[in-house]
Amino acid sequence: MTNGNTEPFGVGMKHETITIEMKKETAVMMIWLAAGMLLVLSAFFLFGESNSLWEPLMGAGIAGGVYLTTLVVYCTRPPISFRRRWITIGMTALTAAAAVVGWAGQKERSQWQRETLLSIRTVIGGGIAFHATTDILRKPFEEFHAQQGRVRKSLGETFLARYSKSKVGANIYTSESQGDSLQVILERVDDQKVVLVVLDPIARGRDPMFRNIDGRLGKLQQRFFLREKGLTYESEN
Amino acid sequence: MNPKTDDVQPEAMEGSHEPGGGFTILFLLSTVIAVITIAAWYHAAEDPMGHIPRFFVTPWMIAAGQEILHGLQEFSGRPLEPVQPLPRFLTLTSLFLITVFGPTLYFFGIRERILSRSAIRLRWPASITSIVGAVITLPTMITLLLAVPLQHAAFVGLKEAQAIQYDRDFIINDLNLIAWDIFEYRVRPKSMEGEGGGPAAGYMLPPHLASTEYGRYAIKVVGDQVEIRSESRRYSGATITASVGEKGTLTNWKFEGEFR
Amino acid sequence: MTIRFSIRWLIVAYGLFVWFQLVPTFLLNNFIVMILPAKVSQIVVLGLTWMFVIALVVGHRSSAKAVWETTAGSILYTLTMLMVFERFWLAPTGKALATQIVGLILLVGALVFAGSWFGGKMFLLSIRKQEKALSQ
Repeated sequence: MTNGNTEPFGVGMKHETITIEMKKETAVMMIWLAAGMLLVLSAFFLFGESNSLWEPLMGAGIAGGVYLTTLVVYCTRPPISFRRRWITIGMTALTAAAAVVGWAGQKERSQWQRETLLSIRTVIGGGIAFHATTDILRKPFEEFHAQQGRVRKSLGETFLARYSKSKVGANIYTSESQGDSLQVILERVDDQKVVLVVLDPIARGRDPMFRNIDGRLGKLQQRFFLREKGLTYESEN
Repeated sequence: MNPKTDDVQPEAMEGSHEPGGGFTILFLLSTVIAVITIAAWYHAAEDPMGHIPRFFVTPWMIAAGQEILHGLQEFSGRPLEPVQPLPRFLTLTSLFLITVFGPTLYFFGIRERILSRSAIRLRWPASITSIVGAVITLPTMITLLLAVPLQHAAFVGLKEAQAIQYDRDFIINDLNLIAWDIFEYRVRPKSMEGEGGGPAAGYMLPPHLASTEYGRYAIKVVGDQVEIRSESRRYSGATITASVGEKGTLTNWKFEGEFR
Repeated sequence: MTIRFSIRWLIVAYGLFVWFQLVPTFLLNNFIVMILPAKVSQIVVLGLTWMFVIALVVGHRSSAKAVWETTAGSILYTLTMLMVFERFWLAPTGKALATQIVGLILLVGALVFAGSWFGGKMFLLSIRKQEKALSQ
């Protein structure tokens, strides 16, 4: 039945009803958006100023998950069919699970990468320590063994002849650049041996509680002994 | 009609009408704005390699980036800096987008469409908000599902590559020890051990240097030149060869196999 | 035979290609590049497939009324990508030659026409099924 217009009354009235419902739904949607935003925001800042983003993200993520769950349940309530409701909930749960796995995986990966960076620094530090020490000891060792004749200087004397300004207990290493913080400390010099302690204040050592020669804790430290026969070393940390 | 499986009673499906005039104008405007925004970003941020700039990352990627940044700060001995406001803002925005904004528009859009009984076929797309919701939610869903196995595979590859790198670095350290040992042999007088003094002829690798936790080492003395060849214990075919100079310095590096 | 061409549907179809392919690509570029194949030809195939799926959806949801408009919208969208971004989706094209542009447009047009036509047919099939169910 029509009133001369193209649309039947029934449909026309249904249109009016639908229009009102749509407007109400829009308002409801805005309220949901505001509530969700507030929830996620509060949970994010609950952890205050932190050095890492993982804790605030976890809090906000849980809040977001709770919000999403209630949203899906709300939007799929009757008259949405049972089948469509549970398909939607299932897909949402699957996606949320993928997000959680992705999140956990990414956290594990980034922490592993950070650990790896520190381990690489230790390996590099060890190599640089050896290189720096042998650079210092090469000439005295060569000069000691190149001596001819009956009057010969001791190993310690040969060393001090080359490094006359070196004092026991002081750092005798010359930094190669601004970022180079390696220390080579002359621990002991006598006729038979020269003892150097090498400290890398940045590289992590094996034991985080190891007390380094300069009072730091847990940094890479090696002790080198140069004797007439050659060089030996101990990795102290 | 089965209420469990059917959402609505099918009304007379007369076929669709055109999209509304107001909707069309609004949609055109929003589309043009989207294209201009993306084009502006694209041209402003494209790098010389031609990579498309990252426009959006998931919040846990931002957090991971922060973690690695801290690792780099520790690597260079700098103190750890607190998280800057920009990464915080990006993390929050991205989380808000994928857990609140996108899904809200999307699910409300779905419900609106289902509830619009006979109007289901009269107007589609139903609204811009439902499109925006779908644009954010559906690609997020697909990429989240696909990313899990891909990222896991990438991580396994990264770990393997790092393990090879470690092995290489430790072998290089061993080579430095051997080079110094050869230098000492050259420098020490013959009287000390019955050999040595001057050229490296007669030098033999001590057992503790010939085989270590990371590799096996062999030397070849040709006149005054000494060549060291190392082979990794863990990675068959991965070798490093180097020559030892007079002062115990290593030159002529060659990396083969996994170490290349 | 009369072919009705609706400008409104043309605008909507163009917009839908932008919103359902261009925008998500940039929103989630970081993830999409992880799953991208290495070869340019494979990227093009992926992009075309995506456009086919969008066309299928548009054809279905427009009740088979917007097949030509969807095709024209896809051509406009392709031209936008080539001129503004010098890409077809994520495949770089540089300053494409006229022959490349024409070839790509023909390919896109054919695929999208097929997609929206199939989508429309699927819609009509579902109508017939429902009418049959109603009459029983």
